[in-house]
Amino acid sequence: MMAMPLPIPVLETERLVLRGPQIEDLKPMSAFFETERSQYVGGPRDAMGTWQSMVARIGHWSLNGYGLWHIEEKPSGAFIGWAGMIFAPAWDEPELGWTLLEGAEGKGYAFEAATTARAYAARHQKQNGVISYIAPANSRSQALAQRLGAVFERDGKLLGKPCQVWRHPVLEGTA
Amino acid sequence: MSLSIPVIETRRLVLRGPEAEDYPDFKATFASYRSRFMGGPLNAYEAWMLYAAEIGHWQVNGFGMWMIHDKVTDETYGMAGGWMPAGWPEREIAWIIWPDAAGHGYALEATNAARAYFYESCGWETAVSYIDPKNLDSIRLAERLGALKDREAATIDGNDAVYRHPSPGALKGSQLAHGIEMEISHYADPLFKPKGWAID
Repeated sequence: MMAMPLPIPVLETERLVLRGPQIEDLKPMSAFFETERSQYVGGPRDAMGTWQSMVARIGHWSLNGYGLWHIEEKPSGAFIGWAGMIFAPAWDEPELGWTLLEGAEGKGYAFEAATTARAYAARHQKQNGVISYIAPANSRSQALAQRLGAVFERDGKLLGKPCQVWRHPVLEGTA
Repeated sequence: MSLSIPVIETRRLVLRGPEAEDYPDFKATFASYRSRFMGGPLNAYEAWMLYAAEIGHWQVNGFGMWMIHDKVTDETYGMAGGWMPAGWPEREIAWIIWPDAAGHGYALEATNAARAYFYESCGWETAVSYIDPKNLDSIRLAERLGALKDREAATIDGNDAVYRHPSPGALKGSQLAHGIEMEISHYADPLFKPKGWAID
């Protein structure tokens, strides 16, 4: 038997649990990708596209050694979004990404998840001072990037779509 | 969550889970026309995401596609195993052979072993292969494996033919099973030259 190369670490914050993608997340994730809300993060996608994307997130951890966590709200355990590192062909460098499903916004969850994921990536995954790709019209994510201490670096392109490149600060004490 | 991908040894091959170092071989085939019946050709991003999905499939479904390696040289020849993404009516036995590895019976040997594993170790009672009617090499392989066109079974989207594999009971100790073993042993013979066009 050959072990799956990389178990996905589970991180806990005050209000959230960050853990690997699970098949139970597929339904709410598919619902999200069917809506226009997903236009900034590669959507809309059909059910097959969302399935492949979810399953690929698990393989992403194996291939890169880091990846996206799915976010659970405590104590309900409800799946409310994702945050973590993304790197695939067409990416200039590994990216910190985050998305909240409808209804989970406005509570500071994205900030809580993104800071936790970013700190873990800097400390344990050799990903420090990373970028975030943000769609030019996605003002909510730009505001969050600012709160996270990231600065606008340049206009770029990802998978044929224009996007902004934001640069996160290098976190100290992470060697 | 912990999961182990089994390693299967056959006469000439070792089947292992897909690993990062095997990706360039996968990408080469999925960038080529060879992959036209498997959703390709794909660009670099799509190919990488599909490969990541091949790995994640194991974790989500508990089975998946193995990378086919040469037992001696370790080079890869293609992939074979089980596949069941969203929208698939039932579990599929699937395969793809890199174009320059075709004609040696590797797909037959690997797929036969994968099917035996699913039947004997995973308790599958049946399996199908969804094949594009224009994919003559794969139809031929399905037939060599004893699969028969199932006109009653649900298709993926109406553009594919469903080939149903013989059940574990129908296969065990059958003339068909012996015939498959004999064909594989022919391919393993270095002096064997298959007649006709190269088959997988």
